[in-house]
Amino acid sequence: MAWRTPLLVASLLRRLAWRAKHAVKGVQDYVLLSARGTSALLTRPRYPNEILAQMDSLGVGSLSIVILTGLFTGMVLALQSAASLDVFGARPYVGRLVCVSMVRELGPVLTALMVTGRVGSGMAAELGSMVVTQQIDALRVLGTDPIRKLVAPRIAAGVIMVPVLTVLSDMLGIFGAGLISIFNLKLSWEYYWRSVGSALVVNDIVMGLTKPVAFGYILATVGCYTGLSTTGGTQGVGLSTTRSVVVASVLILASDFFMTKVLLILFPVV
Amino acid sequence: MSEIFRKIQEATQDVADRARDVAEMLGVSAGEQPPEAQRAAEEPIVSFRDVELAFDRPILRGVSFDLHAGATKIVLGGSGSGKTTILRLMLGLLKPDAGSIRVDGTDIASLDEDGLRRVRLKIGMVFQEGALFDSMSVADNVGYRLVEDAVAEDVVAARVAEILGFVGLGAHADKGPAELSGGQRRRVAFARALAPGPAIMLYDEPTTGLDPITATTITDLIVKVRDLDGATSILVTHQLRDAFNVARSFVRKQGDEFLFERIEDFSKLAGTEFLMLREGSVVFEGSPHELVSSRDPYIREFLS
Repeated sequence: MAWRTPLLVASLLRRLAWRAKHAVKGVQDYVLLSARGTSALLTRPRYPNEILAQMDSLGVGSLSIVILTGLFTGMVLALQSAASLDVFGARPYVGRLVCVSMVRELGPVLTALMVTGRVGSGMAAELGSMVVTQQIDALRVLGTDPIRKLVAPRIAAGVIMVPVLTVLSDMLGIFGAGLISIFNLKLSWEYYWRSVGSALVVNDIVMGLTKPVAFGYILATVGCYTGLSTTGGTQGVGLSTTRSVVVASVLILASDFFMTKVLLILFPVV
Repeated sequence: MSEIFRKIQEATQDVADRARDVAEMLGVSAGEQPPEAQRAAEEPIVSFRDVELAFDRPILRGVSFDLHAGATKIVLGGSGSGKTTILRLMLGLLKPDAGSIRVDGTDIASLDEDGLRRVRLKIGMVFQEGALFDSMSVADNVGYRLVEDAVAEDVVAARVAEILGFVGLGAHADKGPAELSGGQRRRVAFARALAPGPAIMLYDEPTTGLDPITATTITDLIVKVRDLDGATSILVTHQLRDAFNVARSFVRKQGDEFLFERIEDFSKLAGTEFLMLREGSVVFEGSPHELVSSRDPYIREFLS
């Protein structure tokens, strides 16, 4: 049976090479789609009504989950921070800690992940269904560029609405932490807000608003790419939806790390 | 006749008048055409030459055929024989690996997306399952191309009403595609393809999955568009009954009535040609009479 080993290795290598080529092509197609979607926003024809519809779907449609996520994250963060800070007798610093954590990190990341789960998957499912029912082909046959009509408005909506939702999430997180600080940790309302106000600086806000723009772009482009590359009927739509959430979430978390590194150099903590 | 068609006719008439004036100035009598114009008139509106396409296996192998203006080509073949691929290639949704595809004199294999868009404006396509836009009403689906072309709202509304009346769905304009039956969805797809008045109509298995009576309403529409609008058509199907229905039926309009005539004698049929594909290769091209008279065992088996 020893003669079989080289054949198995060759077969394995062939499969690996095929997978590598497939992955590289996927990245190339994703970059091309993103670039074409972005450039379509800068040239005519544009579809303002589509952009507004997507902003409504992405922004207004995600309000409830963003509100709940922000509120409870802030409340949990206050409880956990207080437990750690009590060891050093530093409970009054809860407001400062929660505020900086929410604005710089948790608000943008959690909002983006929640919107990815709700809207990114929806984009993939909607576009995937349009692919398998030949609606994308029909658009092209009827003289419409699907990237202009479908991808560009979703990118615009992601880039505009994710930062707006993030601000809302930050505010509710800080508010939720305030409720815990007052009713559970027995801090004064005035002291909590003074601590929040003194902690927040311009650099935090810049960091907190830069990241959601990138996250909105990622979740929209990944949702559109996975949707438009759907194959294999309704089962393919399901796979695309899952793939969209997984890929966008990983990209958001990975890009968060790199952006934090860069932003900390550009806007250091004072 | 709708406002759009009236404007198109006026513009065409204007060009024709000017051409006649120029001809008179040059001393060329009516009916005499320069050689280029004669060649253009003889040139097929659709031409496939040695078209090859393969993905993980060969899809089309050296497919060649011509289709002249006003004619109908019915493409037959089993599943996976490459029938639909021919339509997708014609629309530029796929690029051939080799060979040339000319649509109205333009080699589409070399065109970019903008060039393809201009060619597609001459073509109306009825997809297999309709491919209607789920998020739009029937009327919005039908008027989609006109709205994209920034045609005035009232003109669009009039044209949509006219076309929906033509396909017998005037009362369903405000419904969503999900509220329609399979046959109605195909008729809306038909209306959407027809609304801009294309010169070439492509039908991709338009009767698949429909009961015989509903399928006949679809084939009647194909005949109407062929005989009354003079559209050049390619019908892809594996439903022999519907294919022969289209080849045998003719229609003329008398007042508001459509009078259908059916010719049973295959040798008297003209204007419709069959093309049969088998595993990506053309195994037959010819008239209905030649098809039914063929001794080829595969064709005999397919027709039996």
